[in-house]
Amino acid sequence: MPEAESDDTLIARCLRHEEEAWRALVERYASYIYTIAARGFGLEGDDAREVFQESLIKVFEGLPGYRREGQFRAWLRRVVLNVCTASLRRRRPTEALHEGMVDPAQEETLEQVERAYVLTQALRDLEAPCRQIISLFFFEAQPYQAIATTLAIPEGTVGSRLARCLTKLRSKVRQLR
Amino acid sequence: MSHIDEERLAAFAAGLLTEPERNEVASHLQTCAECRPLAEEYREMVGGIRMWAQVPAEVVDDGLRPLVQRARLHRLLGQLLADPSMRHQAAQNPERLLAAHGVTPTPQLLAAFKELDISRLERFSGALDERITKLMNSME
Repeated sequence: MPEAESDDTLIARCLRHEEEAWRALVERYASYIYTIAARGFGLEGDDAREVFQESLIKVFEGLPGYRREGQFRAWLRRVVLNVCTASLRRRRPTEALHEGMVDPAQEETLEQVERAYVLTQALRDLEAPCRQIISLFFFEAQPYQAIATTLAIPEGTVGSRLARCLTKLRSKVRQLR
Repeated sequence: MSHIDEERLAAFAAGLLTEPERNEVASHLQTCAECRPLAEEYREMVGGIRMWAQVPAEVVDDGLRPLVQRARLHRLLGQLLADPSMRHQAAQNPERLLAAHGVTPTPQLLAAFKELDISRLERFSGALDERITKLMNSME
């Protein structure tokens, strides 16, 4: 698998208004943004879609001012949190919601999102068969029979392959930490 | 005391075991302090995978479209600033110019574009940034 372009390189290209760089940046962080909205703020459907789109616009507008101090993801996280709280404030004007601020339970969920992000990075580094089986089972919620058909493997081996791939994923996560 | 192998702990955390197998692992974990941390690690890992939201492809496309439009418009404005003959063309027929550069010529954008007074743009115009920002906003 070719080495992924670094965030800094990608951002420099975005600042030169290269469309492909924007596509790559959005693809890299789309699920991260969406997971913060969905899990951290309980937004669904049109609300999650709206926050996702608004976050991207804020990133576009704010990127020239991004100083590259610390990780891009930390900057992005702040942008998305602000958009999410602003969105909730519009929907629940009577609640005291401050921009970018979250309660302790929500903070814990957002920490879980950060850990989950590391997992997805590790998943990206796994060999294709493992990536595929984990994705089919967890993300697409496919039953064993469908997974066996897709991967052309005996149905009886799906569980053991999945378990083996999870052990490999754990090793990758440890390498990243 | 024999321990539970790692793959089985992973399968337990992911809910891949049959009920008797699950019960066997669960009762082992109640008494084995050595296996518990690894079981917990897998439980957290599986929880992390399950919490990851898959963003629908059409949501990504809808989110990306305005960025691509803005990126194209930025590049076009850069070219306009550098090329006086192009500015003349733009002033004559902005709709055609925008379309030729893959920018959807919405009525709001066309109005903002005309307001830019393209043919009189200068490279270091002080008010230019403000006018360009206004033009960008009209793409919303």
